[in-house]
Amino acid sequence: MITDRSETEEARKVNPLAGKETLSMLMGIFEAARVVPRTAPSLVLPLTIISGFLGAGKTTLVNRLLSDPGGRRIAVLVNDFAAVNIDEELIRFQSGDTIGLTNGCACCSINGDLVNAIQRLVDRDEPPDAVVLEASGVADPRGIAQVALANPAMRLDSIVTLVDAETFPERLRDDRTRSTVVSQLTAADIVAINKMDLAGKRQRSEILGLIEASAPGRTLVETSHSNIPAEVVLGATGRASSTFMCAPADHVGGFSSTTRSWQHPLHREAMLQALRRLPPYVIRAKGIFSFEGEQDTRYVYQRVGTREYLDALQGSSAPHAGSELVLIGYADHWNEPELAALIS
Amino acid sequence: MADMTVYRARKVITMDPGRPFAECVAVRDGRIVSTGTIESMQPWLTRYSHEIDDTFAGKIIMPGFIDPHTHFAFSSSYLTMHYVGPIDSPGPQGINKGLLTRGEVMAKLQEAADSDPDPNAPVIVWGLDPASQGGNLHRDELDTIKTKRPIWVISYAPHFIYLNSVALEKAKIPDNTNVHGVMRYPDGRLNGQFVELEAGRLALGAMREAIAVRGGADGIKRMADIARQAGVTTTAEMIFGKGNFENEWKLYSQIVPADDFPLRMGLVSLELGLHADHGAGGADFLLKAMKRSSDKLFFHGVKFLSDGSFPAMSLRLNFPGYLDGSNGIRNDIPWDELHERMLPYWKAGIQIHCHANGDEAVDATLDALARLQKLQPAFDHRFTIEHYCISTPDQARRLKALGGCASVNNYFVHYRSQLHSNEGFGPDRSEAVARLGSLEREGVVFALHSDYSLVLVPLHPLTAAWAAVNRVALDGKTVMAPGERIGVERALRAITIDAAYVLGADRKLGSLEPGKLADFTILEEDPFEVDPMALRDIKIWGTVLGGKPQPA
Repeated sequence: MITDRSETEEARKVNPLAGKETLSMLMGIFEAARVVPRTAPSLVLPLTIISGFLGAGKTTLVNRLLSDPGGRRIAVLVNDFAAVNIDEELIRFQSGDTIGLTNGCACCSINGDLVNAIQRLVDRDEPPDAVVLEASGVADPRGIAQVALANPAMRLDSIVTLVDAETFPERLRDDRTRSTVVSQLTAADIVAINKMDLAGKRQRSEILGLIEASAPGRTLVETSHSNIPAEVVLGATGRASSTFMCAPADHVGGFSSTTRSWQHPLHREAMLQALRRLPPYVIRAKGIFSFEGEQDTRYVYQRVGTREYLDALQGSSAPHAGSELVLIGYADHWNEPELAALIS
Repeated sequence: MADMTVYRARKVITMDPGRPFAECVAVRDGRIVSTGTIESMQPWLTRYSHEIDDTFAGKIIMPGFIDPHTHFAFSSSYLTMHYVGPIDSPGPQGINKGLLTRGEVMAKLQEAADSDPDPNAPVIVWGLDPASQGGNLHRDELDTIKTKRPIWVISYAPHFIYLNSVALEKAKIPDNTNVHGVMRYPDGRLNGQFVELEAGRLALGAMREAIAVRGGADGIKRMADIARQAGVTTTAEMIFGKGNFENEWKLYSQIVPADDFPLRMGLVSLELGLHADHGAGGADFLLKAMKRSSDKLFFHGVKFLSDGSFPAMSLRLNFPGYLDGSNGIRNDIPWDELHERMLPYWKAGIQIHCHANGDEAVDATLDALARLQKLQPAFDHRFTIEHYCISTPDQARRLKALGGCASVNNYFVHYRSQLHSNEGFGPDRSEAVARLGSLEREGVVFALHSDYSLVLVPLHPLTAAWAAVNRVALDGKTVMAPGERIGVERALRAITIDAAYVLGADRKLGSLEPGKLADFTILEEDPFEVDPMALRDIKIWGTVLGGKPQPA
């Protein structure tokens, strides 16, 4: 067979790391087929993957989530225990691969075996409310996500990719790091641009332009010191939060939220259509819905970026219960009348 | 039925240096009673009823070969995968050549679909790069592959999955699914493409079901057949308990003890797994687990790792490092903590195996052993350095002084040393890979192993012995570091009695002596008589396990 020379050269440009990740993803799925019980899971845990190149601030974010989890019991999976610098006063116990905190959260070491680390969480007597996985700085989070999702007890809530505003343009120009950085951006539901306090106005627009060119349409959050509230990273906890804490003073931009509730059942398609038209400054939406004609079932809804999730709420049988929706977004552009008109 | 069976052979090689050769072996209840001649055995033969078996009359009986370092469970997963990527990539059977055109990809898919005798086994293929190999695959195109088997093709970077119609049916994707990334033809029919995570989960989730139905058992049995055909009667899984200890035990304990499983299997537990599950109590747990052992399936030792791999060029080197100025990776446990993690096992008398490929990692491993000896001196501990690829003569001397052993992957002398003279390690270190001559001169006990199939060498102990004796490179003529060659007898020891020694099993296995288990490898020619360059070509009739013949 005659091969076009230019095609041959093109083929050689394939990023060898990408193949390695696919292979290890496949191995993870094989491993999961062996390890994970074949019975249907009794609960489904939301998974958030924190991605980003080396030095982007992932560990800082993980530390913040652990010390201020917003009322959740989070389990954080990390590759390297030592890097997570947990306040000693917070530590309740440490045993082998787990550090337990006084606020109910836990930090768990993956120890090179994600499949089993996740299965151990699922098997716990008191499983966590949410699982956060800190991806390796040089990994494409998609491969890791597929391994985690090979366990039917996991549901992907979102991939949050951190970007270091200072070094990002250089990483994108460098042949050795470009494909990794781009794969982390395109995998993201939320791109959090970190260290924006250090970037000038011109740099800011350059960075936003570069991100839009590599991964269009992502939900962007600008921040510094990885200071993003748990509500933004993990979503609202539920009905209780009618107002929630917005950004502290040192923050580049704050966050706003709004809550709507209904006593009557909602029209399913109309509500879903409206939610798909939410403006880009809405980072997350979480709802508990009762729909017309299905009043024995309540649904839980989650939306982050363009990723949405709708499923029957387990163990709910109360008829004619009301519905509630929490929207979280970027304070700078927050437009309450627009939202009120969209979701009525 | 007779009490004893006496196997007559052209020659029996006992690997007992005091009585090295015989003409027959007498076996009772799966164990050896006597070796010698019919005449010399008369005191036994007059006291016990016996039959003489001449199946091996023209053949050579040796102790069953032992490969003390393999990875069957991983490898069985590897064996189910085929590769169609655009660049060369290592695989279980050697380097998979990169495929440059769509035509080559389709031909490879057909070949993959034809390669498994099981008509329902899933065909799992990875590596398609749509950008350089003619765009995305789709269902109708995949259906031109003539097969009834479900086909999954996974892209080179983990973004796309392509299914043929059979696989779509298995995945039970409803036609009206609205999951993001499930792609369709213009007429609305599913086109077999699944893009990104949600859709990928649907497609791959069904694959998981398909794999689970077949289970890890078939793969391990296939691996065991490969070993049996190479004359192996005992091997050891050198990373046991990486996933779930009890699930893996369940898998092995269902397969290995069965009469039709042709091997004995040692399980060497990964310390990282024990540490994750039991923290400081890992050694106590392992001592308890060892009580489950039988002659066929036994727990043995604990495994540590200190650096990366030889063929993947991630081992750790001392000065002057790699040709390009880089260096490899260290493993999970920091080197200065290695001895602390080893100490509970050392104290409990559990044999320690530590992976070390490069000379810097060998130094770190020897340092750990020296610290253990200082904390609690011990004799006959059999601390074994696994792989021992790039080393120095002084390290062999120090290993001897500290009382350690080596289990060496010396296949690389033939398969990789010329390659790595130019790529990675440079000529000096590549030529001297696997310094068996140095180990012999210093009096270190060593075994030869394949690491099958995590690295690109065959599982074939006679090939290891051949490489040890000849050190001939891939060009078929260059002798690499001739001073590191060893003789035939020593090489045969390293695949029998000395391999049994590093697995702590030399009281039962590795030579043909009264009381030992009757495990034989049956050869068509005498390894002491053939031209040393023909060692690896000796035909293997098969094996005998516990007195039961198993033709290859």
